[in-house]
Amino acid sequence: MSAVATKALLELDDLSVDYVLADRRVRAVDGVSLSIAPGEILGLAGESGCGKSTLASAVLQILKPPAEIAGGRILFQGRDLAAMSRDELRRVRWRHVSLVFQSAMNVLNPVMRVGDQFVDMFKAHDRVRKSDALARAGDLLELVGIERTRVRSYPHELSGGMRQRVVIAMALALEPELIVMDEPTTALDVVVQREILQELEQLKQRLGFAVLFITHDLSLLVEFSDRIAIMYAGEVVESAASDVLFRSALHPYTNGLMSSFPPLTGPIVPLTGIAGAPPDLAKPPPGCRFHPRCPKCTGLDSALHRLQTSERPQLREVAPGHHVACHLVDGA
Amino acid sequence: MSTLEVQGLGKRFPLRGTGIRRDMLDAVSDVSFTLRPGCVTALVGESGSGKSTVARLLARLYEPSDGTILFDGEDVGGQWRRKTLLDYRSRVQMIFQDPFASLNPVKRVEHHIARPLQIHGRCTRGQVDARVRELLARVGLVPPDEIAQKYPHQLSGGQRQRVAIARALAVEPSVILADEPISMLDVSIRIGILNLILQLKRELGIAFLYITHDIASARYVADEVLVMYRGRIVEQGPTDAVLLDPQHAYTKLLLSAVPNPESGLRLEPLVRAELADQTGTQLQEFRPGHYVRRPA
Repeated sequence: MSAVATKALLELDDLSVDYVLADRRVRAVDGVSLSIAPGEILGLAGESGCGKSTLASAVLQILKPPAEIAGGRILFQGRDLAAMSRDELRRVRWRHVSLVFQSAMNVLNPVMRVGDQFVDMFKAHDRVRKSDALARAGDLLELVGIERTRVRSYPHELSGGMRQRVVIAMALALEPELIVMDEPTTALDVVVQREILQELEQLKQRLGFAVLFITHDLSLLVEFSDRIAIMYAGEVVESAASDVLFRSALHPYTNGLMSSFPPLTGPIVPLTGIAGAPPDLAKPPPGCRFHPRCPKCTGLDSALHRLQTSERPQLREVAPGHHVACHLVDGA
Repeated sequence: MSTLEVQGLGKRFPLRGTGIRRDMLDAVSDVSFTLRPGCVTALVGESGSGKSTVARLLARLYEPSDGTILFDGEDVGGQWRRKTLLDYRSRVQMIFQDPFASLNPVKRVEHHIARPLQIHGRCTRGQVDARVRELLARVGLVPPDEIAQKYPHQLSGGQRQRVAIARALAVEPSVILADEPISMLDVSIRIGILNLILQLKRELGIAFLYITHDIASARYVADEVLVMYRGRIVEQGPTDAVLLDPQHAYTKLLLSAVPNPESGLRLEPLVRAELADQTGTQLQEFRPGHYVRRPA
């Protein structure tokens, strides 16, 4: 385990994030442990409200009140981001860890030319001449498949897909080791999404950065990432290599997600999805948080049912690299 | 049950300038199809392809620039009196994409479903409560007594979309236009809404127009698929004929872009050629019932 820990680029160790309200604390991320190796794409999948975006904000230390880290560590190259001063963080952010938001269309300043926004970003981190920064901006735009003359464009003159590419180019600008991408392609249509993912994959091969890729689209993740972690109601319920997860997922929630995507080829079989809705994190169900929706939690075996509804399952390694938190899965 | 048929439908929006100098945007042109009872017709395409404009034309929120809309063979274009519109809308209902925006946040569920019953005079005052509960049960919102008293913010996205469907059903429509009804919902509850559409088509014989950019979901629910590109239908026909043996370059492009866990990430570039200009093309029958847009 220690060999893995030293190799990891980013390691989340029992991370918890609370939203502190007037009269109570709502735990949005609950004891999450994950690690990303250099050059790896880790997919984080989950539905709205499962805490995946809160987790992304925690990694970059940009949680806004009422959210705050309630426990655990965020180790980036062995240093705890949660314990860093503002000044230290400023040196890590963007140069080492950058972020691509979901609504990249709205991240760009509408009244500034694209090139000037690159210049601002370079000047915030380095002492550079404006002409050098603009030239570098042109290089970066070419890298993501946009003509370099577009440095003179305003954001509204670009399509949604181009704006998303611009934001990705900015995230790459200082050659960070890790890019956190929170639903980077959700607002785009499938053709543009595919083109951007292909570009990302090629850039990754060339530049060697790691990606924490957050989305609700599991079919996309299986295709695109090396490893996948599934989040439900604030916790990781299963993690494994993408192909392992696709072929032999063990957690009933993961299986439910997998059977929520109708196939494009082959026979059409009636799908069921998952009954019910994700729980309110202010009052999560006792025991396994998925049990009210779980098709395998039948109550036929009363001892098992008592366990499922009273004790929270722990994430255990059931096969090398395959972790599951479920009472129904036998340990390795 | 009735059929809704459109022939040569077109919509132009003014961009800038005036009079004959005015630039016009061809949002939709030369669109023809028929919505039949007990049939789901999917309209797929990328954002900006004109899908929602077609829905709005059919819902009579826009006046068409060209073409005709026939309801049971009767031309309903140009009839804009309140009485005729009310009558039309009691037969053609719409479900919107965002169930967070389409319900009034300060009114209970009950109110949303009782309103169309009252406006269209579908039942007497004494029957309203019973009918509201019957509709809630029909869309799978149980127990209906409890749900009827809730406010929209107390429901999940999937439940809200079911309320929107119950509201559409209240007036016993023949046709429902569903504009991206699942794209804002959580993945695990999307299938539930699609199954409800299938159930309603089977049990009530409603004709659905299902608008989506998610081709896999179109394959799951639809009997017939229309593929739209830049305001025109480029391919249409029975679902599996179009999606398993696509003929038009754009249909092929769309299908090749859908994530496929089986194959892993394909890095070969997508083919955008052959897609340049659609002018001078027309739909031609490739196989019985399967049409492809080709140069005339």
